[in-house]
Amino acid sequence: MKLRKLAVALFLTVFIGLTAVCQLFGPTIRDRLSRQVKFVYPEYTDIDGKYCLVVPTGAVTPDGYDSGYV
Amino acid sequence: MVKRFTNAFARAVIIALAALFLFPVTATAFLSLRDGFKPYVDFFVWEPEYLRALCVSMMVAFCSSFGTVAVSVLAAYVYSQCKFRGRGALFYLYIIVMMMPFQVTLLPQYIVSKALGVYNTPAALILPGIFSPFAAFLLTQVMKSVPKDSIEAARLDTSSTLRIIARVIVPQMRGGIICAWVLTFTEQWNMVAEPLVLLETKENYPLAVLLSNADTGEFSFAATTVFMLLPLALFLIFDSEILDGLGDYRLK
Repeated sequence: MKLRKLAVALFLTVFIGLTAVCQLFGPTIRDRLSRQVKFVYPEYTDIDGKYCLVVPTGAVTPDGYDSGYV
Repeated sequence: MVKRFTNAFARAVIIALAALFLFPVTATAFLSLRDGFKPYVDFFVWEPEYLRALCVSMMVAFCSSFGTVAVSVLAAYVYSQCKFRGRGALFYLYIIVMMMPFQVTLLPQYIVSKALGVYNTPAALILPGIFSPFAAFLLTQVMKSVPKDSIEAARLDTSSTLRIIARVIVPQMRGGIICAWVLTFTEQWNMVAEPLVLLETKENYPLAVLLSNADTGEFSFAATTVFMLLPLALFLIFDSEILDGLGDYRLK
């Protein structure tokens, strides 16, 4: 009984701590994580009759083209 | 034989009912995990709007429930220990306020929050929540069970009423206080109508209001699961105290 309560109390502390950390350092965490983008090989797609290079959002090609490049 | 059959039948009905009540909770938790833990990462990292709402919910519920307990213990002392003319009438007035649906007092709350200058701030939710008639009623019933002798004995040692309440009465009604705190916390945690009336900007909304727009996506299920966790954990930690407190309330 005591052990169960202790475990739940520990979980509660972690939960509240995690919420506080994410709220306080949210912008920093998002910034760090968004820099860790995946390298992908771009696909060539037909857009309006033109043959285009499309890079998915949040990705970078080995040549250095990022998601803004079409 | 008949008794054994009745017991088995009653047990089966109880298990079926328990499963029925547990189904929405477990279904929500399982459906949130269809896409792994990604929706939870989204909740805590990529959706600052929801995380902010969770923080607002926590702040409102914690401040309001602690304030309620502090005010209600003092109110309960007056109702259960002090003798004055009109005490019974005042107590019945409290019960009448408790019985009223909260929508009745919502418009006066709006007008008062505007007048106090707290409209559209978390204080507009916290301040009315502090003066909960239910907690005062519950604690009055619990405080009536505190032996008068212990209070009289404490009065010989000190003349400070606050000290008597803090040192003698409160430790004897721990179960009732925790019960009142958890019930008030849950009430504040779940409120939807009050924030919609007393708050204007979306940034100040608690999580319960944002969840009213939930759909059947994994993120909504994850947000709902996170929303359930805190009250559930409080019930799991304080279950025996809650039963004690409600037991005192029932016996009076």
